[in-house]
Parts: sequence; structure tokens; C-alpha cells
Amino acid sequence: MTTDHDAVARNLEAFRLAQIAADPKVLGALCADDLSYSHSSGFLEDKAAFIANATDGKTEFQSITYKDPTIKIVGPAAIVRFHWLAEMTTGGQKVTNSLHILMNWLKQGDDWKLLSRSATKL
Amino acid sequence: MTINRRDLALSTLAISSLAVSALALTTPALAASADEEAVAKKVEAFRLAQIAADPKALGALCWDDLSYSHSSGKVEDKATFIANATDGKSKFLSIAYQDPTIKVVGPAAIVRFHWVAEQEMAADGKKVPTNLHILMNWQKQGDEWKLLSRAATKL
Repeated sequence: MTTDHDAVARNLEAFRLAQIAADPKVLGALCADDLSYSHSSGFLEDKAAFIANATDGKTEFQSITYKDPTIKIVGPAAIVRFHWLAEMTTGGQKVTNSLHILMNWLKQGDDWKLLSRSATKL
Repeated sequence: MTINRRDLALSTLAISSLAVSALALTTPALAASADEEAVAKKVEAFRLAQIAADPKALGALCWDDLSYSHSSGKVEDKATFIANATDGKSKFLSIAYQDPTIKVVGPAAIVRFHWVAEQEMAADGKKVPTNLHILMNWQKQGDEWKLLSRAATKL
């Protein structure tokens, strides 16, 4: 039997891989329709805008690490935090960033979906 | 009686805003839900408790599993958050939660706003302004909405 903790950990890893792959189908399947996603600039996206921007090819991730993740299940919610370290190419430039991330996942039926995400520059 | 262009424009505006408010009153989709109103009330109580540095009020508004992070990335649990928010090392002169949005999704509420605050440091009386984007996640357990997680982003 899969525990909620295991299920969230699996979806979190699938989300990380889908961000690197810039895969709109997988990202879409992992997010609730009401997704609210914000970047370290405070820029805020709904689900359609997040997926469009994450897969438009303007930025290519060489690597994304979700370091020291913590997952806390509270009823139908999961509080997920980690230290984001990524290398990417954007506008022909190699860029790295280091962020603190808060994600809130919500259990909808049997599935855990990403409901909100916020990023803080470190 | 002559009606000039400006009068005409004003009366058109009056009619269209009447139409909009009538629509807001009669269309359930446009009306705030009871849950949205309940969350809005809690968010305002939380803001006032932050200004008052009131440990009892803050405690009653947060779930025991609270996870609260600052714009530095520092994460606090409930006990640490309340201890640090009420230790008197700094005092909020004002906190505004500007342009709040509340979206209720089942037992969860996604709350975002623009935090504009000024605090005074007890040690040297220095006044420090902060300007942040805030994400809060509130959760309904039973009939009660309480804060479950919060993150801050420097603007």
C-alpha cells in the first residue's frame, strides 16, 4: 500500500522531471485546475500560463535539484518545501539560481495535485 | 434642456455600473462564497494579530502543523513563529495586505496579497519598510479555517 507521503514524493519527483523535460502533458496532469504558481520575482501564473511559459522553449534547464525536501501530510493537504538549485540556458546565457520553494499539494479523489507554489530568492 | 456629451457619458456610466451591481447581486458565480468570506475575515484577523503581536490570537488562527517562511527563506513551525512574532524585538507600525485574492478549492484556500509594512526595531529604533509578495494556504478542518502554510517573496 502506498502511503500519502510516498504518493506525494513520487509526484514531486515526476514534477521535477517534467520541468526539466518541459513536458506540458505531464505538468498538466500533476497540477490542479486551480493551480496558482508564483516565481521568485513574485510573477504569478494560473495553470494555463504556467504550462505555456514552462514549455515555450525560451529557457532550457540543464539541471534542477530539489535539495533537502520535506513533506508534511495534513489531512488532504501536503506542505512541501525544498531548496531549488538549477542551471539553465536562457537567451543564450547560462544562468544558475538558488531558491527556497513552498508547494502545497491537495488530494483530489485518489490523486495528489499541485495547488499552489511560491519561490523565494536565497 | 440641452444634454451635452459629458452628461450623456456620465448617465451611460451610471446605467452600466447599476447593471453591473445588479448582476453581482443576482449571479451566484460573482458573489463571494461563504467560505471565501470566512477566509477573508480570518486573513484580516491575522493581519491585526500580527500588528498587535498577540500570541493568543495568532495561535487560534494557525493549525498546529503550521509551516511559516519569511522572505529570507527562514522556516518556522507554529511555536517558533508565534515566539518570534511576539518577542518585542521589533514592532509593526503598519501592515497592509494590498490587493488580496482568495480562491477556495475544496478544503483549501489559496490566498495571495502584496505585503507593505513598516516595523521599528526595539534595539535602535530604526524603521524598516518591507515590500513582499505573500502566498498563504488556509485549510478547513471541521467548520474552521486556519493558516497551514505561508511563504514570502521580496519584491
